[in-house]
Amino acid sequence: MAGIRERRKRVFLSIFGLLLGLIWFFPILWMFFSSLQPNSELLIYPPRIIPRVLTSENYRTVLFSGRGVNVGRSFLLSVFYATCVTLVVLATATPAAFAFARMKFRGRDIIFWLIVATLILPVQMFIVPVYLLLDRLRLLNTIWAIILPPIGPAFGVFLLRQFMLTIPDELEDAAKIDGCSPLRFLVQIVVPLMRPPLVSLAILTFLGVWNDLLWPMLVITDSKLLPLQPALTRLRGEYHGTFEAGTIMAGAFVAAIPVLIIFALASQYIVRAISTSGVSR
Amino acid sequence: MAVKKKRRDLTPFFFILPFMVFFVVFILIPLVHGLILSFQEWSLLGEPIFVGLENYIELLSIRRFKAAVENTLKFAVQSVPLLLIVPLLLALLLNKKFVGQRLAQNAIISPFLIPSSSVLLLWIWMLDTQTGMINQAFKALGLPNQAWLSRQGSAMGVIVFVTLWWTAGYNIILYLSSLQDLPQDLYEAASVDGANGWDQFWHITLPLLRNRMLFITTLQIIASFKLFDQVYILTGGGPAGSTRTLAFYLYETGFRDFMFGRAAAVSWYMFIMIAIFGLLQAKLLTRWLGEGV
Repeated sequence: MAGIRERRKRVFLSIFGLLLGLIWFFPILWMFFSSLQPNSELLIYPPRIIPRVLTSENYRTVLFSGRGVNVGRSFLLSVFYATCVTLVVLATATPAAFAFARMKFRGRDIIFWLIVATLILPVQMFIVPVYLLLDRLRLLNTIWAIILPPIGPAFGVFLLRQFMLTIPDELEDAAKIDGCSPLRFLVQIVVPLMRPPLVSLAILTFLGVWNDLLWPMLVITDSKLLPLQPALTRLRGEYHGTFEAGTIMAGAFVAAIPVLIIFALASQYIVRAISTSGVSR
Repeated sequence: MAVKKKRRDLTPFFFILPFMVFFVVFILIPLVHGLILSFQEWSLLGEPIFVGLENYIELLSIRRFKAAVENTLKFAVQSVPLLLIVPLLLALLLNKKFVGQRLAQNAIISPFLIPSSSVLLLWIWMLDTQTGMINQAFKALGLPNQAWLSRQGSAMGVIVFVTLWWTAGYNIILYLSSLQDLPQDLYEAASVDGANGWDQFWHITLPLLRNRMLFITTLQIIASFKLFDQVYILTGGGPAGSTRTLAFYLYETGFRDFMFGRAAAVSWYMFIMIAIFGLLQAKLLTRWLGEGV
């Protein structure tokens, strides 16, 4: 019977798919399991995938003591930096996207596409001149060096405009007849309609700042202001690879947890933002 | 004329102003300044001096730069096809309905969101010569330990592999969204005509995914030119400079040697190469895929 064959195929697919998923995800599980074991346990052969001895020592080390690298502090700083950038990006990109999508002014489309074209340029084209600019403004080694530059790229404007183009004209006409100003129309009608893309943009912006390594590494040398990613690479320098692998993995896992949680809670927003825009990094 | 000239409405201007301030200061001005810098000689001490095309010409005779271009191309040649095909195969699998599909999908996609330092420190540990999981598995199979990251033959391959594992999820998302938009009636009609799964894939799915594949190729080529984190954390450009990429060379030139003018020239070479390859691959791929339709 076709039904049995069909079902057998499904079972095979399930086993194959889940096995592949497990293999693919295994390194991340191993990061977690390594972080829970005393460093000495990780040196024995054969390796114990399921820990024999559990300890929170690695987490206590990276979060509270740490040899000059304070992962706990850097974690909070990263949350702060990423939140600040996200809020300003939302506040600046929303009205700009609205103007490019719904208002008429001279040169609108040319300006818009020129701005969007810069998105294709690699970040390396900006690091030297922006570094020198911040140096001249005496902003190196301050929080502004991390918070201000990521607001420049037009990704948010581009993403939000695509969605704002879909708002029906009737809605705007009705609002105009009721004497609604563009600003009120934006705040009271468009923003609530734009919730899904705004959430997508917020998540992608937050993750972008959270995950960035090169830029904060260049502009921040003061360990009191160091965000999480460059702090982790310093952690590696302070701890001896193989012999303190558990400790390093604890630091790595601390940086991965928020991202995995965001993905678990909001994967549909991330997927939508990527599939509609296709450019995020 | 009867038509009174309308007062110019400044509202749009105020709407784009806050964003434009940041755009001009952190994108537009740096872009222009970068171009000017590339014609100057400027190190940390002293004033910038205009030197014309000297930075560009000098770079062409610097061995490290040429090797960096070569390594970048090597990485692109190895990683672009892999990141085009492997995520496609995974997306085709994940596009099927089966128990646990959601779980498998999240497990395979999620790594791309994890920060580079976490992922790369993890792989340093996985690949450790003595006690890393991979060499432990080799030992169990009776194979000799491998110094994956410090051998010239394998370091770049490891970077390609880790990049594939790490970023495949992003392309899978792009493929899945296209696959879900494919017209189902076309497949039904093909089944009625007796086309098997392979025929359907080759004659329906693949041609319909053409634009997506072009897009991903472009994206991956640009990403190849930006390759930095993997090199910085995994190999530091070694062994013997075999993984020093353009992006890493730019970092060394600008922020270790503090030769800002030369670093800016590197970034404009990068731009030129991205532009050339973008156009070239778009043309080639269109022709190649065009035959299948």
